Amino acid sequence: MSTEEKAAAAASAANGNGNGNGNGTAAQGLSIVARTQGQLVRRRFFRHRGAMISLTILVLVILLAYTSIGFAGIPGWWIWNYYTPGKVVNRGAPTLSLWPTFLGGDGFAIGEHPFGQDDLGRDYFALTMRGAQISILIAFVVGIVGTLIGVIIGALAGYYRGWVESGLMRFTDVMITIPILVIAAVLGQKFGGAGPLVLAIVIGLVLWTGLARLIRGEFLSLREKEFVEAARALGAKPTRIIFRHILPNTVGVITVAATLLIANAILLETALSFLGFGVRAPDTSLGLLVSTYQNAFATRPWLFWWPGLFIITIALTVNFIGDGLRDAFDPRQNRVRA
Amino acid sequence: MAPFIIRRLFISFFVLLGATFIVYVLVASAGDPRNALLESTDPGKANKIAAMTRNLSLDVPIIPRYFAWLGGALGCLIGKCDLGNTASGAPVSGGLAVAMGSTLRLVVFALVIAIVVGVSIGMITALRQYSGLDYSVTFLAFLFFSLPVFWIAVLMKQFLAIKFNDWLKAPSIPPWVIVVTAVVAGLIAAGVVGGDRRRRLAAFGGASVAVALLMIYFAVTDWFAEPRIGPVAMIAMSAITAVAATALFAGFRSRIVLYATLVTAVVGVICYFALDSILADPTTLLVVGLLVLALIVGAGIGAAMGGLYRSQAVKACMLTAFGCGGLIFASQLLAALPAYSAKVNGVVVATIGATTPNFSGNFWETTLDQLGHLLLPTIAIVLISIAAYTRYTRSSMLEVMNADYIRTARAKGLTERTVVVRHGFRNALIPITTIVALDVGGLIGGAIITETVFGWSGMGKYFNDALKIPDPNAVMGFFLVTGTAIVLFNMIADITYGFLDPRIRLS
Amino acid sequence: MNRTRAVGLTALAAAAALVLAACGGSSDTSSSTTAATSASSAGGGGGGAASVGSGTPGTSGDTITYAQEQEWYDYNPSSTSGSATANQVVVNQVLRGFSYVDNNAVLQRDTEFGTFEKTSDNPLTVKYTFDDKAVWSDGTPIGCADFLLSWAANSGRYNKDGTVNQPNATPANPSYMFDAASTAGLSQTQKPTCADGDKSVTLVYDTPFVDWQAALLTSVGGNLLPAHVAAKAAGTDTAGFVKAVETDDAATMTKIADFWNSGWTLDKAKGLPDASVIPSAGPYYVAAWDPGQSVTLKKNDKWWGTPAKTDTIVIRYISQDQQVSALQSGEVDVIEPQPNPDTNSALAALGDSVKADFGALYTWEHLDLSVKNGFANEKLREAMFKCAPRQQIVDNLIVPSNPDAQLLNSLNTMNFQPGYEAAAAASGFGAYAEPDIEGAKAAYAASGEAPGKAIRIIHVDPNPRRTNEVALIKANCDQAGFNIQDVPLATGPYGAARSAGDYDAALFAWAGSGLNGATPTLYLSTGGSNTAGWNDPDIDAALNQLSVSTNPDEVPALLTKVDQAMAKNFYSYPIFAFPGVVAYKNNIDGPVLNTTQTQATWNMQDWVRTG
Repeated sequence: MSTEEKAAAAASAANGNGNGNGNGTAAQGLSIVARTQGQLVRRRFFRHRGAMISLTILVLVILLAYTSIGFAGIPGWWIWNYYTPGKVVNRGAPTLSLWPTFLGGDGFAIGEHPFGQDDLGRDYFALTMRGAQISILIAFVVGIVGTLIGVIIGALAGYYRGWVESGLMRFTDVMITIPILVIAAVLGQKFGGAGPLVLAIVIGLVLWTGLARLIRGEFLSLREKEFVEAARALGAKPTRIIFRHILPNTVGVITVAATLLIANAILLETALSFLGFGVRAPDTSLGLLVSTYQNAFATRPWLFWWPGLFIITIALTVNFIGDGLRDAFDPRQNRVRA
Repeated sequence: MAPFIIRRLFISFFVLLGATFIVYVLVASAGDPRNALLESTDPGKANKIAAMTRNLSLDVPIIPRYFAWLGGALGCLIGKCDLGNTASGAPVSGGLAVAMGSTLRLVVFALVIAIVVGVSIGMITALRQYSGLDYSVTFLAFLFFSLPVFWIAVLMKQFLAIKFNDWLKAPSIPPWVIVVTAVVAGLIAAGVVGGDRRRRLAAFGGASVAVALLMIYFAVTDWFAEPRIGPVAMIAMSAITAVAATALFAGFRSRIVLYATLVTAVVGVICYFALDSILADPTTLLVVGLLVLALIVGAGIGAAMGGLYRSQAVKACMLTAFGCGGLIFASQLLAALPAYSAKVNGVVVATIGATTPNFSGNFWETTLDQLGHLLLPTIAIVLISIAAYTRYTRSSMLEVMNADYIRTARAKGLTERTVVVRHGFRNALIPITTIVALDVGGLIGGAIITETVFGWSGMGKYFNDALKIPDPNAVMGFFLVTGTAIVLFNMIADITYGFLDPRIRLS
Repeated sequence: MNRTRAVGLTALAAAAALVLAACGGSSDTSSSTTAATSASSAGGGGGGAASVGSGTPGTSGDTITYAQEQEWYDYNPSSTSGSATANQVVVNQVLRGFSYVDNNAVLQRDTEFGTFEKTSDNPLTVKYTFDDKAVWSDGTPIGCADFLLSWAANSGRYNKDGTVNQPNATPANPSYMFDAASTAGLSQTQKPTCADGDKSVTLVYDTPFVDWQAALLTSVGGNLLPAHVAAKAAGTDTAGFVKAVETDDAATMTKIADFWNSGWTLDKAKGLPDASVIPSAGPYYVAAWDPGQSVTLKKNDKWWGTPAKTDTIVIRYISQDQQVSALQSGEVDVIEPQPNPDTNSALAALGDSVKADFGALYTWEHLDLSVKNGFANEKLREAMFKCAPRQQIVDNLIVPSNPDAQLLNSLNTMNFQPGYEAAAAASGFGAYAEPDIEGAKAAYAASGEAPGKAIRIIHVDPNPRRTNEVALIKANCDQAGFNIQDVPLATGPYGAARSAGDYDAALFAWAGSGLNGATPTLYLSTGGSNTAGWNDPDIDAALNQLSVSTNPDEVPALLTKVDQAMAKNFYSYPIFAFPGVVAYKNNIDGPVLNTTQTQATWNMQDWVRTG
């Protein structure tokens, strides 16, 4: 189902709910251009300044991370890779200089190692980019896995109710109580650092609980609506009702929850790495870099600040995008900041 | 309600039971704790391995071992707890109790602050949606949310503790600090007040001048070398408290409430002078007792003077009394600061631990010692959890303020204050209570990283240490507490939700 | 907290004040004056808050604060569970004994505590004499009973079922009454006989024992414990206990053993045991314990030797990562952080306000080649030795943490121990400091193995340093023809793989104690820790002679023989000793880096604040 269709369905839902600014009424006004709910959402989103700036920055960061050192065998444009040790020059201090000469600086120069070098003389820009790749990968895989499971469980529980609901929700309750560290620790022991993808999937397998409860709540109220009643009366099968009629109406909630999930995943990965349960050397992640060099804060600040800067940038932009989406999907939200 | 609670309790018990099984099996299969001994040249290696095997019953297969553990744990229901021993042979329950006390001290304080600050900021940003203030607060909230705790910790230790303590030894306020603080205060005030340009400009000017004057006063009188709340400041701040309490609960349309709160404030100021000797070295009981007394007196004044606005007056006066009590408390604390600082060699803001070892002093000094140790970890926890509260409150408030009944309220001519406080705020708080309840459940698990970096041996650190071994008995002890808390508060969240929102039926 | 009583009294006064205030209606000012006078008289101190400063000292004054990562949990450092660095750090100067291992891993006699001498070599006989003035801090004299308790506990003589073993006759599945950390040495002795109150005891060995001078020590220290406390807990007295040992009275011994095993184990919920249970026999006694936070040691007035220089030592529990900032903020005076380039720079940045003592620890990194797996072929092992970039590993990975770090050229003698120079020169490891790729290629070719043989180097993960070491080894040895594979394993799988010998090469470290009793198990062909399948008659002969050597002067030569055989057979090479550091405020004198496991508090009685 394309975004357009979803949005259209969402629009019909808005009418069905009776609490939207029904675009039908809007179309009757003479000077007002008729807009579908999807157009409204997009319009509101595109006009959300914070979200748009964030989206741009996030795309740039992703492009930078994946093109610079290459990914999955495809070479990148950056001269160093992240694993070959080299000779440590000047304690590995960064050669990047942005301070113009007329202000007493060295002028703009990238130099050999713009972000500096680590203990073994590896290029820190390459390492940071690798870390960003892994962190982004983890974040999005967690987002996808968590959302998928959360939506399915929430939808089934909310639609079928009865024993399906109580079974699934009690299962969710069990999952909520299990500390994620326990699962990460088991994973670390069993798979000995099975790689970021496995880690991401496992985090995703744990983080869906909040989303499932949210979706269940939405389903509980939507399944009683007239349009669902109508669909049922027309003989639609449950799968069709769930996926074609109810789910599109929850797309706003899902999108927002998913972006927050992604932002959380980045921070969770950082925390896990700090505690020694996350990504393991020789591979790296932003969280691992920051926690490895947390004591370098005063002495070799670049080892700490660069990855930290990328963590914050990614988490911040994802959060802002989520915020923009929330505002955009809220049908009651009629103020749009130009 | 009762059948609902009983059924929920029943189900929760089985949820917990299932979870303990899963966690036990996971931890037990996470690794063999004896492996850590393999790199030792200790001639007693074999004995140690045997002892650990005995302590953790490692010779028993996992499933029977779980049921043996469960047998002991179920004893807790009849008051005969046996949570087994840790890998080193100490009883699990002892370490757990200490860790729990430590975590509760740390977390409760931080949670209260985070909720109060987060909810107020969320409210303000919702009322000033898409303003510069809204954007800045959103940005900062997300920024703090995105910062790894250990990073904030490193920065705070350096600047809020070490550098601040050094500064406090010879406090002097450079002019640029005054300028920057004044401008920031002005900007915040302008953002909060909102409205048209003139109004905002006035707010900016007023706030920045006031703050600048205050800072200059501090600088000139060397206030930080011997901080205190003097009589003039006490009178002024009590009056402000009275006015603010009136504004919050009743508005100024009816002067009678204002008079009541002002009378309360006057009583507060009298107490400020009168209680000096009784508060020289009070006990905790005395302080709490005085606070209760203050609230009773406040309520009495409100009831006596409130007239038609009795209920509002009682609330406003109680808040005023509470505020005045807080001011007296703060003034005594500040007065004890120089003596305390001398005792701890100038380490007023501590970077590590829960107390200064073997510290002895009067009530105010011990309180300062605890506050000094709580400060940094509390800020760390508040900064990261404030984001969630701000965002939730903001969106919940926005939703409510767009609701039909708010339009109705406005239409019937209620003042904006009444609309916001009585109709908007109260309804916006309903979903917040759920989130708070869930958070409390989660927070008992401790803040692993915060505890580690600030040297609080709380639940988080306990859990992390146990998991590294991995020691199933210790982890299960932790899990039993946190799991129960999560399940219980989950239930409480559902019940309060149903209680607060009559649209929801508990069935 | 000495506030408790005052608090109680003030609470009473406060309650009275509240009642008065409640009854007196609005005039709460008059009644509160009465309460104020009673409150201040109960507190004992006069005046307001401002005048308190000069009274009881907070942390200032004669107190030195030391930061340690792991919290103690047992007062008995000789029991299986209590034998750990965390406990030894606290009791180092609380419980003492006849001998100790100093900071350079050299065994020293503690002549303040008592003296001992070897009176015969055949059979090995040692006579111990307690100092005349030796008393526990509760006033009970230290003597025969305390020695007997140590012997009974650490000799493995008493079985749970009440039977008694003979010297050197260890049962197949021992189930001793006492959970002793180690029974080495004392298990070879005859039961000593003495009367309660005797100040001297004679110990007779059935077979010679190399560490006879440290017979009462475990690898992390270990000390004499108060027999009168254990006896009292068992419902008897020291005389009764001495009698029980003499008659092998199983019932009494079981009670004593139960207390010895767990009576000194600490429970965080209960806090520090009663002072009568934990008397001291050293310069300090344990005065307070705030679980999770700190332990306070105070000067023991009953100590008969050189008095401690500082009244109070506070041990605060702070994770190593946070210790430098705690030192900087002034909350602790002495720290032992994990040395790394950043810790070093951070300490250096504190300038003159802090002194730091860098050095090596008695924990040595080495690469074991398994003759059971990939390295059965001696020529392959030779190639592996020749391509090893040992000096480079030290220069790149260790020198930044310890500026004085050296390449380690002996497996059995550390470079801070006396006699290292001779041992290193004779061992033969010096020839493999720099990689000799050509030589390695030649040896590889001579092995007849096809190029590109896969070699699995296992090590514990996560450990970035070992990952880096393997990277450097791979960079060199792959040139010689190997295909080095880095196999990082989590603790569990690693332990299993190493004890099963399932590796081609293992990169890890042993932690030493300065005693020689444990050396044989590492290299003996039948040694429990030798999982690489080494089997060399020279090594076995030297080690068998070592275990029964009672003359300390013979030991270095035997250890050198082992080193030489390990190098000649290309079994294992040492790389470096772990770096360590102790840092302290510049107004503190006394702390030195302790290379062994007992940490900096080993000489805390000498710490003193100078300004």
